[in-house]
This record gives sequence, structure tokens and C-alpha cells, in this order.
Amino acid sequence: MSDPINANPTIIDVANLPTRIGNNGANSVDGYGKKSKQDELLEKVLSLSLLTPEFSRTSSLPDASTVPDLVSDVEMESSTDDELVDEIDEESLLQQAAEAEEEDLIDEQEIFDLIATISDPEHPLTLAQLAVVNLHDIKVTHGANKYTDISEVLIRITPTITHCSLATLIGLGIRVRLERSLPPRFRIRILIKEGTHQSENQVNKQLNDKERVAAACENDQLLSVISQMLSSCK
Amino acid sequence: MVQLIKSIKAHSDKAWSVSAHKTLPLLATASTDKTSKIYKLSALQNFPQVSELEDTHKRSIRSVAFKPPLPGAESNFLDLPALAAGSFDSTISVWGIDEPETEIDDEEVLANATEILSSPNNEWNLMAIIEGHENEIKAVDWNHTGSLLASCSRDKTVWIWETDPETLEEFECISVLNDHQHDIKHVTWHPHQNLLASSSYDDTIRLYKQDIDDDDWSCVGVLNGHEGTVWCSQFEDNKSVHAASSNKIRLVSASDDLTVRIWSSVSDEVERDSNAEYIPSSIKHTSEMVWEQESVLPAAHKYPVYSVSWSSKTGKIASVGSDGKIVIYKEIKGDNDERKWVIDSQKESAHGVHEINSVIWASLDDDSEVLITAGDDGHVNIWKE
Repeated sequence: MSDPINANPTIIDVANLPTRIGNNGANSVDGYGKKSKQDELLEKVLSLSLLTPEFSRTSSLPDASTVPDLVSDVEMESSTDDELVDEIDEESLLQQAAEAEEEDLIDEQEIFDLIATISDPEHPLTLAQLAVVNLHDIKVTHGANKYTDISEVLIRITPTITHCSLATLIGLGIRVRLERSLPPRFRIRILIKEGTHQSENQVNKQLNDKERVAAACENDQLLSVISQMLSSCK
Repeated sequence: MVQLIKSIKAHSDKAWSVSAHKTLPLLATASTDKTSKIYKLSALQNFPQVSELEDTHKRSIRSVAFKPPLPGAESNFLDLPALAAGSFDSTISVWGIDEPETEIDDEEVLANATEILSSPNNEWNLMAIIEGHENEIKAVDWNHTGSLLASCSRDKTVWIWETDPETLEEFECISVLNDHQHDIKHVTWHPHQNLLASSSYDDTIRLYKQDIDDDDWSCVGVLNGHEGTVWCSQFEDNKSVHAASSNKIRLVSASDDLTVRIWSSVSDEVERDSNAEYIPSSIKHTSEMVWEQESVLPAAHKYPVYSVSWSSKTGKIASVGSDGKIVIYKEIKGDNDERKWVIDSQKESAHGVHEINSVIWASLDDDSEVLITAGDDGHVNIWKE
């Protein structure tokens, strides 16, 4: 009843992840050799008041009911294209086809590809492999002019366990990755998927507080953990 | 509709805050790039940079505030300007200039005081570093006489520092107020009395005053209503000709919940001990203020509203935020003489696609009123109606 971490997460095979870029060499799962060193750094970072975890990361217990149902996730992801088509009418479909000829409209798949390969802070696995980020939980809303107006990216993340104290850190990693990669017209909103975390509102509020994120990003220890998480990104 | 008259690329990173001197044509900025800059608010001279304040803070400067002038200074002596800057490094720096050296006699100096004191020839020096907060300072503000400086922090406290407004030699902490439950985003003083308001991540605004029987400060009101972080608030200048009433105290607030609200204190002070029935005798004798939410301004923002400013010259309110829009509201008299707020004008993309962190009304050296905004693009933009 007292596993210290979610030691045995369900893992999606990289080959089954939706992507527009090559799958090869996306991740090197090199076991848990580095864990203790990384654990130390994590403990330090988690003790920073800025992450204000009100829940301890010890005494966590993988709750079967809250571990995402990965089989169905994978199914949904493989049918993502259909799902997207369902949401738009024919006219916009034609328009979309025309725009597909142009380059670089930032869409959900591109956002997914940017954040899928971020490493989980405590497992030698990526956020996509752990189904923390999922293509169908990303929504891009463009402004009137899709290339120049203020646009919005909404990402719902699914922590692997409901009391995961690393949820704030993971969210911050995603935010830093996107702020560094996307043009400034994007407003990034990161939310914990409803019902997947016991401190959902608290984590959401912190992750979307511009000032706290800015202050957090001036913390060297925290930045070094985030750099590690992002080092597996392409 | 506001027109851009000047865009200054002031900083290489986010510009967080701007402050204008009350009587001198001086503007100060604060930025993530750890510097503050001072500009002269003169369209004729094309807004020259007066000074750059650097090499002092280790982290972002979040907030700047000019000390108000000393009462009755203009005619008798040279009232030197001073600036406070609050930083994420948990310290406040105080900056000022030395008495300018001139060839002309005292009388002439006084006659040209505005020109002399706002000149780029003055060297701005670090006068003091104030330490005390545990972590990031989010805002600083001076009271109307310049004898009190308030600061607030993520450490959930508001500190009030007392100083001699003429020499600024020492800053003594006279009160630490820990009524908020979370991170405090902003503090602001009433323009004519020692009434302080603080806005917080806990979604409330709190008001503080000095107790009647001793000199301690206490929370005298809590404004509940916002459904998200309150980022900023400002009192109405109740001596302005546009004020609703000179007896009424009003406050405007901006929030993450996308709204801008006006609050007013609806009655004179109620003595707490007049309600002795349910007030335990251990509670100190203070006067609780009665506040109510007067109105929610017409919805205009799509994303969080970060800053709001109330003009004492026109009575108009301006708000800015994450959606990059400047919204100006005015209060009009409807049927039955009832006052209501309407949107006067809006300016989209005031800093391109970037977020706007701060807005103030200010006066140029020709006394005309402008609106000044600071954005994530590091620019400070100056607008005229």
C-alpha cells in the first residue's frame, strides 16, 4: 500500500504514437540507472516553495481506477484523423485542404510532436509514452488570420496518478517547451484533465499564472530539471 | 480612440510595470531584463531616455513607483524625485538624484525646477536596498506624502515601511500584514489618505488602515467577488471633478476572471465596538469599512486583465491584459440620473500579438494627458486620445 512512486506505469509503444515526424530513435529507454541522481535533484526542486506541493510524493499508490485506460487511448489516437474530420464541415475541410498546401499552419499534431518527446521527470520515458499528453487532448484555436492573429493552444494533461506531485513540474516543462518553440501570438493554456488529479484547480491556477511561471523560470535548479526533461526533444 | 504617438523599445525582455511622476514629466519602467529605465515625458523632445538603472537586482524587476512630491515644495526648495523598484530577488531598491549643480542662482533654479529635475544630465544613484520579504516582490507603492512605502510578495505578506520623505535615509518596517491566504500581486495607496489596498492570488482585495487607538495597521475590509486572481486595483481620486462624490471611496480592480469591477465604500466608518454584542473584547478597537461591489464594467477582455488605471483628469478607466487590447470606459448619466459605465473606445493589438502588463494615465510636459502601456515585447507605448 505504500509504493513511493508510480513505479509501474503503463507504457505506450513509441511506434503506436501519432506523429508527423519519424519515430526512430525518439527515445532511448535506458533503464532506471540514472534515477537516484535525478531523484535527488527532484527532491530539491519539489522542496521549492514555488511548486507548493500540498501533497507528499511519498505514500503514493497507483490507483487502478485513475490510470488512464491506455488501450482505448491508443484506439482513439489511431482514429484521430476521423475524429478531426467529424468536427468540421465540408467547406472548412476544403479550405483546410487548400491550406495544407501552404506551409506551417500550427495544428494539434504539431503541438503534440513538440511536447510528446519531453521526458517524464521520474521515468526514463516520454510524456507521450506515459499518455500524460494525448493528441485528442490538444486543441488549437486560431485567430481570424491563422498566421498573424492571437491564437490559443489548450492542452489537457493526464497525470499518471491522481496525487502526482510532479504534475506542476510536468505542466511547467510543457509550457517552457511551447513558449520557446511557438511564435508569441500563441496563448498557452495547460489544464489537468478533469478528474485526474486531486488538486486539479490548484495546479491549474499555478500553471496558468504568468507571473509565477516567469518567476519559476528564473530558478536555476528548476530550470536544470526542465532542461533535462526537454533534452529528449527533437 | 487612442492614437499611438510613440513606441519605445525600452527593454530586451518583458516590460512589467510603468510609473509616472506626479508633477515632473518622468516615466519609469521595470523589466525581466533586470533593469529599469527613466524617460522624459516630452513629445517635443521625442521622449529621451534620462537614465538606466542597472547592476542592482539579480532577478526581474516587477514593479516601479515614483515617490510623490513633498507638500508645498514647488516654491520653497528643490524637491528631488525618487523611485522605488521591487524585484523577484525579494529586495526593493530606492533611487534618486543629487541636487543638480548649476551656474544659475537659487531663484532661477526654482523657476526652472521641472526642466532641471527631468534632465538627462542628472545621475540617478542607488540610495537604499530594502530587504525583508522572503521571496518575490510583486508590487511597491508610496502613500500620498511619501512617508510610507508598501510592498507585497509571494510570501503572502504586505509590509509597510516608514521613512523620512525628504532624506529617504532609513526605511523602518512598521507593519507586516499577513491577512491574505496566497501570493499578493499588487498594492496601491489612496491618493489622499492612508488607506491601502492589496490584490491577491486568493481572489480577494483587502483594505488596511491604521488603528484609531494605537498606531498598528489592520485589515479593515475584504472585497469578495472576483472569481480569479486579482491582478491590480486603483482608487478613484475623490477630489477629481469627475468623482462620484468626494465622500465616497471607490476602487477599480482587474482580474484573471476577465472582469473589471468597481467597489465603493457605502457608508462612513462603523465603529467596531458599537456592535459589542458579537465582537469579542479581545479584538482591538479598529474601524471596519463597509464596502460593496458597485458594478462590473462591460465585458471586453478575452483573456486575463492585468492592469487598470483611473484617470483623475477625465474620470475614465483604462484596462489592459493578455489579449493585447486597451479598453477605455467612461461613466455616463443615464435616465433617472443614474450613473453607468460604458465602453468609450477599444484598441486591439496595442503591442502587436503580445500581452500588455501595465497601463497608466500620465501627463506630458505640456500638461496633456496620455495613456502609457508596457508589454511582453519590451516596448513602452504612449497613446493620446
